[in-house]
Amino acid sequence: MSNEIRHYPADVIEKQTAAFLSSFGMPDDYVKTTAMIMTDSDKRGIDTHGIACIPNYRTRAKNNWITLDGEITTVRNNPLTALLDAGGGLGYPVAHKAMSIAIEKAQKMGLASVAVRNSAHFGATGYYTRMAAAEGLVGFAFTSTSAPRVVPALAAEGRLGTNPIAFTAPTKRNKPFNLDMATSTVASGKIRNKAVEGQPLPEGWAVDENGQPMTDAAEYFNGANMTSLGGTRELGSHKGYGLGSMVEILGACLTGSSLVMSPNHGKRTPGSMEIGHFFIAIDPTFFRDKGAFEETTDQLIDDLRATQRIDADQPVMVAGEPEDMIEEERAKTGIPIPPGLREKLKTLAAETGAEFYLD
Amino acid sequence: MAELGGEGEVKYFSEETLREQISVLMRAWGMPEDYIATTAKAMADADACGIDTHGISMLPPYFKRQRGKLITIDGPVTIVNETPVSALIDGGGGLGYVPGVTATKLAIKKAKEIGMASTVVRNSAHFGATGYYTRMMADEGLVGIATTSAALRKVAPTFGKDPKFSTNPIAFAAPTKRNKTFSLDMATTTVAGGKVRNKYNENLPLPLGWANDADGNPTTDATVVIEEQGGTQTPLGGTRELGSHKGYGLAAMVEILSCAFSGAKIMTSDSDAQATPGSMDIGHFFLAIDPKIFNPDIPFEESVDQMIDDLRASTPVDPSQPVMVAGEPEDIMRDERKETGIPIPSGLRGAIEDVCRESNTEFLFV
Repeated sequence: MSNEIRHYPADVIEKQTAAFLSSFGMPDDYVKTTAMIMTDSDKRGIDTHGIACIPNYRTRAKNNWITLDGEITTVRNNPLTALLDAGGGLGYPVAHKAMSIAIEKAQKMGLASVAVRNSAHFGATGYYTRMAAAEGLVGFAFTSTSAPRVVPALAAEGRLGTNPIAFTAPTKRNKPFNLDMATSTVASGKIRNKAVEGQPLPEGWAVDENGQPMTDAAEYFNGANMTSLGGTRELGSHKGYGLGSMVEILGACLTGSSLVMSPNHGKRTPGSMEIGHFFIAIDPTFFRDKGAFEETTDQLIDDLRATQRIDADQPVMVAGEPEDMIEEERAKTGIPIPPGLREKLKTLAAETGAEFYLD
Repeated sequence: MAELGGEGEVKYFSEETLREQISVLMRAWGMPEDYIATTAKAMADADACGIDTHGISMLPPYFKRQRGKLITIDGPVTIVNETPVSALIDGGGGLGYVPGVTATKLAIKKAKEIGMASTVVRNSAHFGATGYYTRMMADEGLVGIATTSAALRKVAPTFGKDPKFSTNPIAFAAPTKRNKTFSLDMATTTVAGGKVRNKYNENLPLPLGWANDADGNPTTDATVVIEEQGGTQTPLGGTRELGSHKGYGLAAMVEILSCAFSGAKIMTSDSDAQATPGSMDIGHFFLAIDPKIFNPDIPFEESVDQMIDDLRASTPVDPSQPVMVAGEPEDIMRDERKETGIPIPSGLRGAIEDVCRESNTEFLFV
């Protein structure tokens, strides 16, 4: 096996992802949706949420933390809202269905929201809000998570997850404005990267088990935690903490899911990680003439991109733009798979009997 | 507004007296009688819970704005269009309190009827503390979200030099049973402008990450911001390495919510094409959701209470500084000020006295 990064067309990655999911026992219709959404992350450079998740999903399925063939049921249904139960399955099919329902209801009624309970990891939060924008709607998405690794401001212990927020607004001449952000200072993948490269962590990313700032990346995985966005109280970590709590309220409390800081989180229901999601869709034409919302948002994007640069080589971008650029690039180059991941996937394929397409 | 404190004496007044002082001034400026009580209540509430930057300290700037015809103090608040789930309100160029409260009440009424609702406001001005409106929703058992645009550009995007946004706040509140309401109300900047001003007044260096100089480099010198030497405040996160692109993204989201739904002026634009005489054309956004519509197995308020209890029980870094939840510092301050009254420093009293004299009306903080 060579040590080089190899590139594959997106359809090969999607086929490989689907082959794994099928080999784990996921039903075909769920496989199709899940592989499509996971591969979209790989296409857009969100490498932490694509095929790299496959080994984790295998572990979770094998340990019966998730139920890959869990039945999606509609618990409540109202003109503007619905509550879905994911049956303990991975979150992709149920989240896709939930946002589709929200879109359909919002197109009819003006706005809608759909809550999901009894779910698991659903990939990149921003995928679902882009679904809304593709239909001319404004989309919000929130999700609870599995592990309390983020400390509240002034706290020494992890109490919240990375609790992401996504928001997408439709546009006409620009790509949609697409914000998708963890409410922690950085994603844990970035800390892992520093550890792998033997580099110190910037101060403000992580705190040790006493809540003290720490910069030794290798030590992070011995009981350290991430900070809330802001990093330190002086730089506003109480705001990131507040946003993280807001996401917990919307993702867990509103959906009837368990709180991530609860000692029983993920243990109440066998075969379920008990994660909750929340989706909102709003039709701007209920407020203004068709196209007016998009015109304003396009103007905003143009204005922001025209900001004077600090560094002539570093353009001022808007949310979603880095991913749009990578998507364009990878459409030409293919999706890069590093040797470590490829090796891992190859071993896993041999184990589960999935066809291996990445040789 | 601590800079108005000066050397003089701090005096304490009841919330009721603050409302009266606000009311007599609004009346003197020509605000319609039925708008006055709403405005005075919302403004004094900010002082009552310690948000001193958004209460009576705004009277001198409001005085200037109405005299300079930047706002139309008697502008009529009208409903432009309305559906069972939405409404667009025109603030008539007036102060934002009546449009804000009108929009919030409409969102509450509709959400109670049908499960959720969103109302937006255009052609408005400053509406005080954003969290006031979301707490109104939570008081009615609803989850509330509110945002507003704002006039003064002082925040540069990540990687950018010149300011494009104001502090673009977002508020969120959730109802509870045994705890006080969860109430998040935050500027999407690293710190409020008042905190930079305080450091400037005391000749203290800014913590690195609060502000950038005119070239976009991090600075500890407050003068570049306060003395308008091209300095900017940073979006939440402070530096790119610590996630300022997230604060910047939230600020842009707030601008979109507040202006793109309502048609209010976006503050990033240099163009005067949208300028409306007698109006700052600020936009607000409100969303109310009735948690009962989802009827989760664990009652919503119980789950929020549990979360608050769990968060407050977090082991603190410093035992003398307990872990709090959003809204708690203001709740503590409200209780305290109920006992002590609301402190008004002599500098602010002097400024309001001047405004009262120029407005030919009674000064009550004596």
